Amino acid sequence: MATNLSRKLHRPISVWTYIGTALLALGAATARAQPSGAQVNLNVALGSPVVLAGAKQSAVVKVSLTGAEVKSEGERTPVNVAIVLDRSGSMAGAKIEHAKQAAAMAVERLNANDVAAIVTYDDVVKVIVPATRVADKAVFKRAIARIQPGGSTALFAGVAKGAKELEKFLQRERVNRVILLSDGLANVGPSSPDELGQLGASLAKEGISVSTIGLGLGYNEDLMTRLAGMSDGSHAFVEHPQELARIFDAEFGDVLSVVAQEVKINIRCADGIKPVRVLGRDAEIAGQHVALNMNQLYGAQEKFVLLEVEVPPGSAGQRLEVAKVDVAYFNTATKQTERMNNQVALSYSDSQDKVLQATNKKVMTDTAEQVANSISREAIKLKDEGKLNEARSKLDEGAKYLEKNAQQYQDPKLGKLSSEFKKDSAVLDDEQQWNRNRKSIVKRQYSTEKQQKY
Amino acid sequence: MRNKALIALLLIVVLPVAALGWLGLRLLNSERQALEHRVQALVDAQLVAIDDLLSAYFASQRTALLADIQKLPSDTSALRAYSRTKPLVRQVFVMDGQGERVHPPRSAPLTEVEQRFLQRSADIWRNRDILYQSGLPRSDAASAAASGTASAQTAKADVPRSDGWYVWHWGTETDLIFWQRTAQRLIGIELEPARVKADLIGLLPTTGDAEDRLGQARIQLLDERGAVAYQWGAFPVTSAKPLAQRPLSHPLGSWKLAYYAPAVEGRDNSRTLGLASALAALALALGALAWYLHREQTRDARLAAQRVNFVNQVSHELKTPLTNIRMFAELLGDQLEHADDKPKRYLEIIVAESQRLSRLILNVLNFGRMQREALSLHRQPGTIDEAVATTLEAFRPALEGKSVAINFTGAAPASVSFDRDALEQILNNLLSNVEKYAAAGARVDIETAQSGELSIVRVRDYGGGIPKQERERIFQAFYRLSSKLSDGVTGTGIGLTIARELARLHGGDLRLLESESGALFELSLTTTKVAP
Repeated sequence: MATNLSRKLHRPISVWTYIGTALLALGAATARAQPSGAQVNLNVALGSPVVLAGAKQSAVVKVSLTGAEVKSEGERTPVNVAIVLDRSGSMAGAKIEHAKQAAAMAVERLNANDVAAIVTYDDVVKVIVPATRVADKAVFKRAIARIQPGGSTALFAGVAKGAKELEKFLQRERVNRVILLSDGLANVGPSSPDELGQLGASLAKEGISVSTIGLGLGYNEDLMTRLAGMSDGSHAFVEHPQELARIFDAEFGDVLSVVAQEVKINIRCADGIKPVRVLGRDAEIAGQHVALNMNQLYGAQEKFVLLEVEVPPGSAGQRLEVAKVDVAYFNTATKQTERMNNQVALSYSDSQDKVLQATNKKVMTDTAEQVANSISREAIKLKDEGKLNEARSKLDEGAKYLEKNAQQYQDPKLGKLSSEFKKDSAVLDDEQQWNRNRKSIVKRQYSTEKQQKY
Repeated sequence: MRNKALIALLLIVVLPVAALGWLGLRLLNSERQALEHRVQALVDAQLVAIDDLLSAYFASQRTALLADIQKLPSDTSALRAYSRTKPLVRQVFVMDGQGERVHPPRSAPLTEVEQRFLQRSADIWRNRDILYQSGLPRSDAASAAASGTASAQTAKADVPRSDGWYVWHWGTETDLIFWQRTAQRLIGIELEPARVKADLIGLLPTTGDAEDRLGQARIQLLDERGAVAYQWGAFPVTSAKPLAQRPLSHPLGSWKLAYYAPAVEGRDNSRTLGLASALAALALALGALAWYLHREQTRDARLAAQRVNFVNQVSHELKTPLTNIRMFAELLGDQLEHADDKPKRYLEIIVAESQRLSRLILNVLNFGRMQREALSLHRQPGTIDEAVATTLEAFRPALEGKSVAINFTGAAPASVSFDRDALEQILNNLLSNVEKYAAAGARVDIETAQSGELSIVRVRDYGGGIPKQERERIFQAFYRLSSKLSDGVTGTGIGLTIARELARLHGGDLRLLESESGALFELSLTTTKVAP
């Protein structure tokens, strides 16, 4: 599928390079409609607002949401966080020490408006600090200092108990988040990526996100990304324990910058426009209607949805409504649910030049990145199935595709990604390093999909 | 005899210890059973309480879901929004009164999630009756649902159920559907399996918190495959069997709870140890007692042996001077052939007493040798009769002094090879016994006989005789007949022992035969004939 799309997307481009004269795009619409001083900026755009007349083709609608910057500590949304730490036997030594330091440091960033809980798990779960307002940080630090490693990994139960703690103070005015640290495979209780994904999806419905931090090389990155992905949390791969502090810092940076929650995006495609799929994110597509949720938006960060649609053939000069976008979110500053809407249309033209002129580079590069990402996913799947050569040619294809787009749109980011793909392809048969490389690739895929900043 | 005493002493120790040990173990065992029973009851109660907690969860979910259903319209977007926003809900479906699918919609396009749902729930769409068949009868479900709605439902207990749980196993998960039907529609709500697990985990205690009163035990919640879904308590489970198990109530009937704790045996190890040490102490005390008794019993024998040992050593020293005394006394006797009667008689006494002393010394020395298994024979040609006559001659003064008549009938004149000293010593012992114990009979009969290689000497006295039960024992070293007989009589208690030992060494035996009165000893010796 991804290959098909990539072909469709760059086929017209190869034609455009032969056209010398440029014409202005007139009918295309890139709509922007914002109430002033809003927490969230909604931007709906088409990759190619002007398309060639006479043929059925694919187009990409980008729905972009950017949170306003949080200017001061006083403005920020209070948090309700459960830090769930793996204290299984394998955590002994530097891992547990750095984890404890990082957790203590994280608590340090919170204040009396925030609620935090500390949960540890090995064979069994212990709630070492139940959900409490962070008034007396010493209580947390003492409990953290007492954590001793030993035992197995009851990961599911750890998350379940962490979520249970969050429910004591579960409010839409708070950022409700479980931060899970694990260095091993879940071996007590439910342990499949599917089950953890289900749990994540269910928690997301309550406005709880689970951020997962995989430490070392022993954890299951598929499980950790499914859990984070289905609950709209973050995911990080921390190879060396000394990086933990930085990752906790970044994660808390995000958590403390949330400006909107319960973000509900509804896209209604106009008649004749057929929604095909959403790139990189899980969405519910039913007929003309596409729905998806995000748990939160962070300050000064863009999150976007790329919807691939099928556009019917049209005649030059014709203008066609593509989609209407409705976004509802809970503004954590005003504590009100706010709504925004926007719409996007395209126009048909006979002129390749016009089409080229009108192309939205940002949308196209974002799309290329997501398409390449799904190629990368397929490659990993092939590799998992033992089809090394097919996986390699998949990655090479992705690298080539990225390179072409990098040149096309003069985008150095895509060029960099292309060389990453080449590197991935080269290390595909390095079985010794594969575990490490796979974790790092899966992490990159995740960040790309979710536009995660760290 | 020695072995018998040992066995008896051993029994004194072993029997009481074994009996007490058995009783103690029985007591411990019954006590342990009682304890086990108590623990079992406690554990069962705990598991029931947990099961009740989980049943209450499903009861309250039922109430909540019924309330939701009440408000839920049958329109597609509302139903989709419902399953999109409810954490516990995975999918909703609706059938109309005729069993036709209303949601997921038949006419409108389906989402991917809905398509997957239709795949896994195909059985229900084929036959919705399977929903009603599973689960408990209405009344049970109502009592399980301890909420306020229960009374309203029990009133129409005979009416077919209008709601319930349907459980089925899809892949590795337990899928739960709550359904409610009215005349117009049937609504089913499929729960999110992972969320149900997480909720149950949330309800159960965490290890070490206020609700965790398990102490050194562990409870596991096991799913339908027997895999641990959740566990709590400080006891690390090894492969040991659980102390108790209990299946959960409907709808999670395929799940169970397992209670683990250190084995009861482990707890009364100290008691077993206590019993063992008490028994050991008892055995020690009894052993000491037995040892003391044993010592007391063998004290006489030991003392006599010590005495003989001493005498044995002294005898060596006495032998040479005594031989000299005898030799010179006999020489003196020859010189005094014609002297007065009085000095002659004195001299005879000296000779006789020194001969007696010689015999005594010989006995002691032979006994000592016998103890070292160093007795040996020196066979020489001679006749038995002559050797017997010589011995009798030597005893004659002593016996006649006690008015004992000697009656010798010799019938062994053949020239044979035998140890003369041994024969003399045996006879000496027999005759000195007659002199000591049977002088009252006033007569001693000595007969010899010979047949083939065997020579026999019988010595019969007419004294008090030997009681039947003592007949074997008189041959044991240091055994002497009762004080009645030994009153005023001295001796070492080894004479007959040595006599029998010598006879046996000589290929024969010394036996006490039945006789009407007195004692009849028969000595047999293997003797080979030699030319005279």
